[in-house]
Amino acid sequence: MKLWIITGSATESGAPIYLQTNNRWTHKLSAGHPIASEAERQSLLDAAKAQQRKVCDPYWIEVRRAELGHLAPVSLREKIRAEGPTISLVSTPFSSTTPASRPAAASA
Amino acid sequence: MANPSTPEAPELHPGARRIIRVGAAGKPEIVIDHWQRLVDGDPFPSLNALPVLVSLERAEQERPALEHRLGTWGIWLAGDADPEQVAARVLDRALVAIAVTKFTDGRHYSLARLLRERYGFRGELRAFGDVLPDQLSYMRRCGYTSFELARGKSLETGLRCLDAFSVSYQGNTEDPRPLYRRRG
Amino acid sequence: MYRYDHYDQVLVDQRVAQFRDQISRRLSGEITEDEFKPLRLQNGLYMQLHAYMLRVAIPYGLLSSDQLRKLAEVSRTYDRGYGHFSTRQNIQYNWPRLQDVPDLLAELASVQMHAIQTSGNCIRNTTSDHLAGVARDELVDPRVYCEIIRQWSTLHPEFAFLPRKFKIAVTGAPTADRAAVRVHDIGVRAVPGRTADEPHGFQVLVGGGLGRTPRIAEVCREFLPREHLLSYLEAILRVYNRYGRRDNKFKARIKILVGALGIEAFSEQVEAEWAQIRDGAMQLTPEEFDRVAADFSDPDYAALEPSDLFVQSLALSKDRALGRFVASNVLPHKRPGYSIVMISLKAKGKPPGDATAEQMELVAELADTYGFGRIVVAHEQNLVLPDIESRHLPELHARLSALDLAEPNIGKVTDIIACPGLDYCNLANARSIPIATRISERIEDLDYLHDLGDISLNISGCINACGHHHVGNIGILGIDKQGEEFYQLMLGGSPSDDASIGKILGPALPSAEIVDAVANVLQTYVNNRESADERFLDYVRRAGFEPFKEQLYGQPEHA
Repeated sequence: MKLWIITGSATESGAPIYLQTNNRWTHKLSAGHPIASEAERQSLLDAAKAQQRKVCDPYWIEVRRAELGHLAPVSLREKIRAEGPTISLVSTPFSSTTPASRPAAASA
Repeated sequence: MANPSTPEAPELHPGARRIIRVGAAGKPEIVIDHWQRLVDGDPFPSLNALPVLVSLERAEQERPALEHRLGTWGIWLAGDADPEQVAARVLDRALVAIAVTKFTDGRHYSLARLLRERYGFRGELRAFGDVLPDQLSYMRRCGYTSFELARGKSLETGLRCLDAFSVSYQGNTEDPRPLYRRRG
Repeated sequence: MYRYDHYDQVLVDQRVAQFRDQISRRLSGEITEDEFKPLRLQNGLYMQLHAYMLRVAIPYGLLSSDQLRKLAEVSRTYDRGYGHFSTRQNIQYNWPRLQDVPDLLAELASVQMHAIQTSGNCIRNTTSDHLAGVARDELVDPRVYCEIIRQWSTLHPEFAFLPRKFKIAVTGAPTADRAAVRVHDIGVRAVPGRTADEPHGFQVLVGGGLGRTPRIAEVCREFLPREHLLSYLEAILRVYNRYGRRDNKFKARIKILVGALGIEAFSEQVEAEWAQIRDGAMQLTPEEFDRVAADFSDPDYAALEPSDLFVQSLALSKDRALGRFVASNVLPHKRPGYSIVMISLKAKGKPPGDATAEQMELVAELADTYGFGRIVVAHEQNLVLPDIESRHLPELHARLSALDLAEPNIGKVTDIIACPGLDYCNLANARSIPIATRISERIEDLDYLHDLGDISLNISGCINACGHHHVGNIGILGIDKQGEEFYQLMLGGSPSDDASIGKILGPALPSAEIVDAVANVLQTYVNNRESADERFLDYVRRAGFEPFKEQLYGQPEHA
């Protein structure tokens, strides 16, 4: 069974945000509301588009259940979007920036 | 901040609307406009004194009927009209309006400038359609003198946008001198 | 460098106020994201994968030390303490918040900088030769004309909504194009007058570009008298604005129009339009040339003895770090006793073009201490200290080394041009930066690196080609194959006077194999070149692709 989450970029920060229930948004993909039907996907996307003051260009992404049942994105693009650049930034004074571990290909 | 939704003025007749027009002293202001813009096939308004805007084709086909009306008539052009083809046929009008089908389609800026600078159009040049406040200052510098904003757009914001810049590097249709001929 | 007068400053300040108003209307909901997008793009503000990205204009790459210090300060206050120098000589901040952008821009305006038209379907930042003003082979200083073009194109009312973006590059060195003018929408080349008493003019090229449909520009006019520069550009832009395709964004660049009409018919249209405006108010005046040129006059150079032999001896120094640095990063200056120092932003394992606030501040300080307070951004994503007294080179090298800014690889294969790729970019299909860092880590033997000689390696993470992969001697294009990152390898590109578009060598390779493939290509060249004097590009042009294909794809166990 396929699962989806509605996502978009927060208008104020540009950061990726994910739709929860009750029109609330979260910065954590794993806390987003998993959608299992195409009908619900469409109605939630429409609801997200109605919040254009808060969110830019909402769309849906496919997710899967990873270990311990956590939601994880299927595509590399959404993985990078959710976790941050895969490279070590030249300067990271913000402790909130935790570059994702380098992918297997990079250690070849 | 201006209120995003501008309250509609009481209408004098169906179709009268508030627009921005550059006044005689060069100052843009919000005015009530009576011109009735007709799509081909629309009947002329029953109120015979109302001025009408018709397409160039219709103006040429129905000229006797237009001349017969009490109200004057002007011409509206598509934004991608070819100035070489249309200029001579609109020069004597008091009002020429140009349709902006999508604000990101910039062809009408060249059309407006050429009508003014190359062909010497002296009447009122109006933009209508997808006309947004943030493009008004570009339009004005290309020779437009009145603006019918897209539905729901604030005229007050439009006025503020027209006032955004007091200098420009380029000349404009009223004063063709670029800044390097005005500096000092 | 150019100094704003009252008019320039008022315009930039008013642009900040206008953008502040536009942003507050977006935040209040008065305008939608669809309406806001073109407005923010015209002021350099993108939406990327993680955050907004602000691209700040560095006109023709030239910075004062105060401006560079301000760029560093802004990166600390409003971003994460670093910036990315782009292939169009601009700087990009990757993490600004929308409501902070007006204050950030106001800070920049205080040092005569802005983000006007660094994106959008309008005339972009005019780029130029990073050695402008100091190169020995220069005919005229192109920055004078770049600044004149900058002013003409800034908030031009007729050309704010072109079919597509529009890029102009200018070179003042007729025999050494370092500005890649043949891959720009318009390339302007200064050329000598046609008679002994005629001043220099311009050859105007049109229709070059990279992206989906790479194309080398063609000559639109062989000789343009310099007073007509702006009216001629205006004529080209007007023809493009009226007739460029708007039905398909992938066919909307001027190169498609030039290709469809043919250069003769296109140039006839331009000439017809130009004939109507050439003698009007746009003619440039001698006073304007003089006014702008005065700001680009030489700094107070000392009268020094020639230093070429001294620099050569440094290159052979027993201190190999210094020797390699001087051999690859120091270029001859037009004035005796001076050198041009290139600062590589391609240190091993680092994202190409990124610099921290500390690095920017150090470079600004070094420009003040050893130069005349000027810094240039090169389109290869490096920095230039253009006026260094040669006797200071060892000291300067030591200071740069302290902050990892002395990588001796200018023009070498690890001097990689790379776009931000899928680590940041909304359009990318694959990552670029990790490929660049892995290549630089792989080729870590500096003797081998220098033995390879001059090779350009350019990486783009998608077909839009921000990493200029078509004109790299080696080009790498990232593609997405069913969710996996693959990379196409191209050979034979060049952005210079001998401009050429690279061709694909063979099937795309998975991420895990692309670095080995590059190493394989380099070794094939080393094994087969006639001598160390035969450059990689010359070898590719002479020998063709067969030796490379055989070595790379011919063996069953090439991994």
